[in-house]
Amino acid sequence: MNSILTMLRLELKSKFGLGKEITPKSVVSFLINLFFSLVIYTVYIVGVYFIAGIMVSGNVPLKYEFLVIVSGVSVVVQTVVCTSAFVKNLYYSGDNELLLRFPVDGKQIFFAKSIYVYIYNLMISFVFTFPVFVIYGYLTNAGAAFYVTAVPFTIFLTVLPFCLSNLIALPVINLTNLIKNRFALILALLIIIVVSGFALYMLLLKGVLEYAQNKTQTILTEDFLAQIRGVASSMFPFNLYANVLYGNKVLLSFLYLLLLNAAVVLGAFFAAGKSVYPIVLKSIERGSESFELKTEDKVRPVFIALLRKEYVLIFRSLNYSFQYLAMAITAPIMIYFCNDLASSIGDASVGGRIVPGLTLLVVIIFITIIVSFASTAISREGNTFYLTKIMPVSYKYQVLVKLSLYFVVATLSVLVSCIVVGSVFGGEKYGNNVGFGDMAAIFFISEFLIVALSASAMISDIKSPSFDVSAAGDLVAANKNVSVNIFSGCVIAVVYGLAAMVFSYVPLVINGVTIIKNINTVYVILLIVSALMAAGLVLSLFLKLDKRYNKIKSN
Amino acid sequence: MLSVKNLIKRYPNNNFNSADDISFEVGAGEIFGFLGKNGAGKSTVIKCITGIIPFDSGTVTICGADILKSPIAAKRNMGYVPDNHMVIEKLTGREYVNYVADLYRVSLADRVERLRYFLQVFSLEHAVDKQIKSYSHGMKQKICIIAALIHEPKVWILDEPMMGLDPQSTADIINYMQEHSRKGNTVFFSSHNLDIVKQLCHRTAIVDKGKITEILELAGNPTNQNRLEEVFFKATGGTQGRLITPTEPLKKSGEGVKDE
Repeated sequence: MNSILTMLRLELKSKFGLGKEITPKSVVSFLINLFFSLVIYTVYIVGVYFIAGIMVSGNVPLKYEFLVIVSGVSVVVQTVVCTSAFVKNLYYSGDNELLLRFPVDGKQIFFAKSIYVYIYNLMISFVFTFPVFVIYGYLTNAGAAFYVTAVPFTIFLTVLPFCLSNLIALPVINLTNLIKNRFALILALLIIIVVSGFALYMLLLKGVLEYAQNKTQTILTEDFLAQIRGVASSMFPFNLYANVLYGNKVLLSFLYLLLLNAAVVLGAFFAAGKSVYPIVLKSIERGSESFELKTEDKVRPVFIALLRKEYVLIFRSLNYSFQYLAMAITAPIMIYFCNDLASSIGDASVGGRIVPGLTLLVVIIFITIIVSFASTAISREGNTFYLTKIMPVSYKYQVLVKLSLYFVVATLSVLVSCIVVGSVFGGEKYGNNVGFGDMAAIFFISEFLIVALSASAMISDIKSPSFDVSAAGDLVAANKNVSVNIFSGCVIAVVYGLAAMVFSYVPLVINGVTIIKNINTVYVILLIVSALMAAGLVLSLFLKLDKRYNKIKSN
Repeated sequence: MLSVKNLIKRYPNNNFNSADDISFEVGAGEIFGFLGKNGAGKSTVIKCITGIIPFDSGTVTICGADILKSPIAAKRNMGYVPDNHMVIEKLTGREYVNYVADLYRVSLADRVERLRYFLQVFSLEHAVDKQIKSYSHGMKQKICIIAALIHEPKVWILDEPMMGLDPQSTADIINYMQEHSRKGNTVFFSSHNLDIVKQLCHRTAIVDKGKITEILELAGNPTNQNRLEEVFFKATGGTQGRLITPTEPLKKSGEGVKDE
């Protein structure tokens, strides 16, 4: 028992950074992270309140159905989160090899790490699920008893997904090991997951927003309502959770849930408890398992050699493939969905002239996400950073190659996005709201911004890189530069987008002189501003590069 | 070939110099050892020489090229093997060597010939097309060495190259260091192994607290070879209890006991 508690303490300390030295820098970093987290959390709470309002206190209340959906979503999300946590912390954790050298057995490691995953899951549940019940209680004027019940209920709701994920993690880890070195397959799977998840989310959001915009033209027709009720009442076991909280067949439902939980707990205890040790050992063994690739000796120009190495390192990493390649490839599809949603709302409320401005905003946001990868351009060198110092290639040239890669990938993504948006939203269906001129302007503004944002991201990384890499050679966590650069990009997107949207309708007149006549003038101004920004940041990147690069300290 | 003059390096937040007025020259065809206890400043000097870290004052020239003023020319003539044998593990051995060869603009004919030769010398033919991630410590060290030699550098710098290697691999590396120097190239390496240094090096420098305390001629000088341990321990904190004497054989059971 003592060993389990010691290992749990170590796990908590390493994951939550307890005992880390507090410096002014770490406080600022913490405050920035806290601010962004609070912004995202506020958006989540407002969104939940909005949807709950529609379902719980709308014309046709769907209180019970709402609870079924919340229980279902919570269990599914917790299962996914827990499965990922189990795979990362139990099977792929770099410390397993170290722990096994100490007098602890596989089961003790399993219990210590499982308790950590459970604590993590409980926290997630209280941060995300519990407030939903509070909102529900508030909207339905529930009494104090409801809120009191909601606390143990939230805890109870974590047991099933925790144990289920313990079981699901077993085939997941085996599958992951199986496709580990099939990089193209992994990338294809990532693209499918990102696109389908995003498409589903946007379609749901569109439905909800359309409902909110025009309640008479509702998606909640009588037939649809009947379908929701039918599905909700038969969604086992989520309907049982809803029964308990809704006060419907409470004892019977609770009994069923207890039996179900007991069965899964026993299954998890015996199946995972027994198989975890061999899998951990196999994972340690497979940690160094690699592929064999017969290639020819081939001469490449220095530029191509550096570019190829940069690309291969991204392609052969699950994390980087997801963060960068999958995002860049799926951006046109995501831009299409976002634009579709924004345009339909904008078109209906203020008219079609808003579409080019909205398109500009959406495109810049996605450029920001793609290009934010450049914020780790130097950090990703990790343990082999010294190679960049000893190779007979100037730092400027090396950085130029990296910049070129980010430029080429983002340009291709933006080009396809512009073609997709132009051909879809430029059609008659959308009232020819986006012309060739608009798309050309958006494309060239984007090009300058790609250069500007990449350069800015690389400057911040060169100034304060972090070479904290995992056993696989990937960065342990994205450094703070990533969030700072995403924030800057989003500010630019909002300013540019708003300028284009506003001046499409209202010209800017000062002292009787028309300064901005229409959106074309805005395009010209934004092109000039973006070009200046790009030139300034590129100059700033290269002029002080040698001095900054020399200062970088690696291990 | 390699010249270091009055090199001074102080790390930020330190109140002492990690390299304190270091000066030495290594000629063509020479094998030069760099000895010192842990933390003496060997790796710091090597990192300054290779351009990995900046230094406060002094000059480093490689084949006449100043590492600060003409870094590209200096680095083109240098091959470096780090102490932590870090290489790009996501690449295969062949991909990695080809990548380095591209950076040094090695022709196809040269790299094919050299790679074939080195793979044979270091017994790595079976693993060259495998991802480096799967290599053992020694194999990583060897691929690192091959990559450092693929452009036939005039100056080959190694930071504790034998650390953690098996006797076969150590012998392979020692043999190639000698072969490289026979071709008129310079070999400069740091080590903790006094036996290897005394057999392999033409000269050696002993570093303590960032300063060179002794430079000894070794090749063809049996007196210096024999007293290397003594000089080393004297220079780095005293010989008291540190000069190793051979262990006496175990007494056989019953020895010294009278038969009844």
